[in-house]
Amino acid sequence: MDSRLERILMQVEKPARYTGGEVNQIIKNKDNIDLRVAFCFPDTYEIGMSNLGMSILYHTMNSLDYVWCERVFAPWGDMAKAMTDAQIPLYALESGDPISDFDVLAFSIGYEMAYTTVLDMLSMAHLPLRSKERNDLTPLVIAGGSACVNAEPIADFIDLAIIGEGEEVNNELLALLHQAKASGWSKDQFLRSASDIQGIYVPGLYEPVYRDDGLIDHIEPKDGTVYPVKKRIIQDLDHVDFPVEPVIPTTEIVQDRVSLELFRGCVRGCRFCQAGYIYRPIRMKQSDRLVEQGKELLENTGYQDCTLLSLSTSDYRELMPLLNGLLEYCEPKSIGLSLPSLRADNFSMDIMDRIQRVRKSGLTFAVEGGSQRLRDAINKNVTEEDLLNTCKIAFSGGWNTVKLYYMLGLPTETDEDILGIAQMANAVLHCWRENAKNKNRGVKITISTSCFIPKPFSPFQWEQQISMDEYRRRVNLLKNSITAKNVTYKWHDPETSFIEAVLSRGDRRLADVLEYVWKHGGRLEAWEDYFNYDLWMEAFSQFGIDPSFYANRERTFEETLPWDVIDVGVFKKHLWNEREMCYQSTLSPDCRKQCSACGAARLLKKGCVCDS
Amino acid sequence: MRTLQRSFQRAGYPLKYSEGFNPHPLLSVALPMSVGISSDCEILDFKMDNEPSDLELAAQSVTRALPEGLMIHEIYHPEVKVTAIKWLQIEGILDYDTGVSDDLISNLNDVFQQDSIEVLKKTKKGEQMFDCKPHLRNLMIQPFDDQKVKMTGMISAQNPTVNPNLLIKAIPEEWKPDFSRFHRIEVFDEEMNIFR
Repeated sequence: MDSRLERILMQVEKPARYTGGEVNQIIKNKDNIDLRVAFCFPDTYEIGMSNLGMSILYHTMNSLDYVWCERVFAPWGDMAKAMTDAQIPLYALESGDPISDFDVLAFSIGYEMAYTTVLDMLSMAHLPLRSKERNDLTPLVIAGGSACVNAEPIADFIDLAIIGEGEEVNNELLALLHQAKASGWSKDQFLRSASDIQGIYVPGLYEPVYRDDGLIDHIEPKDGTVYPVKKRIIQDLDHVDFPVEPVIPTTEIVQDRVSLELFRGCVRGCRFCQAGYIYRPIRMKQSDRLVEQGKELLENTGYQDCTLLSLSTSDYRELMPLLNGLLEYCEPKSIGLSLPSLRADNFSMDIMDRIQRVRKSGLTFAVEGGSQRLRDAINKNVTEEDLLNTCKIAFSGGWNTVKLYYMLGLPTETDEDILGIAQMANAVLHCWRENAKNKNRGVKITISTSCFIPKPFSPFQWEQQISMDEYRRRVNLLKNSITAKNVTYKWHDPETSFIEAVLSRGDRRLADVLEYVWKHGGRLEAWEDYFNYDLWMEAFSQFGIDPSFYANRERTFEETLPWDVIDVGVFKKHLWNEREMCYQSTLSPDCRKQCSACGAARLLKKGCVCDS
Repeated sequence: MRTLQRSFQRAGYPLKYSEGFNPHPLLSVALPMSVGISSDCEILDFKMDNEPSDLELAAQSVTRALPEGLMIHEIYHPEVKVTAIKWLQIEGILDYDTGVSDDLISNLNDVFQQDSIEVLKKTKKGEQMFDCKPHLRNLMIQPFDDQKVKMTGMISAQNPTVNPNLLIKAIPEEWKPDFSRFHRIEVFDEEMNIFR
């Protein structure tokens, strides 16, 4: 180990974040490698190592024999400072080599607040920040992940973005780069060629043309480049490469367990939910395949917990066979199963009974809206009756902790809807009194609210975010209407939500803002420890940018949106129709009841249908 | 602990779990190390779900499942409780970036040959002055290279525990190293017999 590093590691918190050397890390002989990839996660080790996408793509990229893909995470503040002081550039965990010498820096960006950390990691790697300042073919800076469906705020910094699921497209891109490097292509030549691959968006090949009023007039593709850029998906999840020997962290991480992905996409269509639209069409994995992979993963890792991932676990068609298959293996070994994302509406006694046999945890429900009218308007098809029925089963089964999540500021929300949240908490409390098995243990009901953030590619992408003052007023309204002492109310501060709202629907004019915030120390902005609201406001004013133009402005259907350059599958017209139905408080049936021809099926091979 | 538990699990030798509301693996490290110390002599006390017939094979299998750099020397049934461990043989390398001066080694040896070596020690009750001297044996400083010296000797492993960093603390400012790293070599009981 580098002796400078040895000394630094003694001074920083959690040094195991920075050493590598975990079981199942992939080590290759660099003499036999043509392309070195630094897979960069713009957040801490504990967060990045918990990311299933990162684990999958680490594995798929390393399946190419000419590629060595290594992991890089953002160092915490103490380590970042120590590295800067000792002039140690950002290095990859497997080899310890500085990533500035790598061929590709691939960022996985799951949330907009990580943008400035991307800049920081580029800077720690001693690379120029802007794409146009990096003239050579390599290192190539690429990005993917859900915060790249609108990559415009970071468009000037990256060379290209991967739109959609990366298992196949990443390797196609690496193959092209392999060829380009061997043939001595220029960066421009390579990027033009890469833009022909479905799922690859090269921002430099598109030019947003602005009007005098600040809106985008249109987006101009250069020299006939494909427009819009179509998202990539994996059609067959049963046969796509999936790692059953993941890297096992030596230190504790956030999701320290085996993760199984049941399906991608969601049939529900909650109108506020970006994930519900950008991951369409729905594609499931067979339960016997999942049981097989789950067992293998548990054997190979020694983990004692397994979690089932999806956007809505209750909607998995083969949930019972899956649970039976897994429990048969897990129970004798005391391995715990957890099922996040269960819906209150079809949470059955049977499922609860089954998971409870192993371990018991609290119940969490994302109710989102305080009244039935509002829940209908946002298409969150949960009734109070469903919720109370579920609670009844839970309380009589001995559970005594319930968390209810809501958003404040959803379109059409009124004060009456907000008061409905407090009423619902009281109803849950009443339900506990009537059904609790053991009242001596007490009950804990927690209500959490956050400020609604309109996201690209959701039906609410045209909506305004409520002002921070208005959010605070609504918080106070709710706070004052909660009287029961068993009910705790927690609310998120609106400042982060405001900045996130600016960035998520931002455009390229925000590049200077990001650079300014980064330059003045703004990194790991997703962390409360580091988030600096005043710095963001200072940056906006520095460049004459009005953040409310992005966050608090309602758009028209005719407006060209910065992310119109991307086609995620779902038609823009479909999103607009859903929005109109919101204002009529009309529900849309879920995909399984009635296909709404949203457009996502176009991404499947000809003749294939969703959810089969 | 998680790493060890998972390694046993992967190797096919699951550990026994405690009964009760929040089961945990029955596994404890006799002398937990602070971060940055390396060792050849850790004693791990654990219970297995099923007693393997071939303990040597089990040791090999678990070693294969452990992260690189960790290995199990031997698995055996304990006859003596780990509380009988008293002395820890250590070796330290002390870095002097500007070079080892002529009389540094004798000066350092003088420090450790005093009748008492008082340092401020953090305890649960706060900071207290602590005399290391009765809890050290044969502590010696020897030459290593131009920029490093080597410390060898025995320190009390428990009751009280002497953290090697206390020895660095005991060095007056003018001879303090720029960096130090310690390695554990062997554990002994009160009578200086190797502990097993």
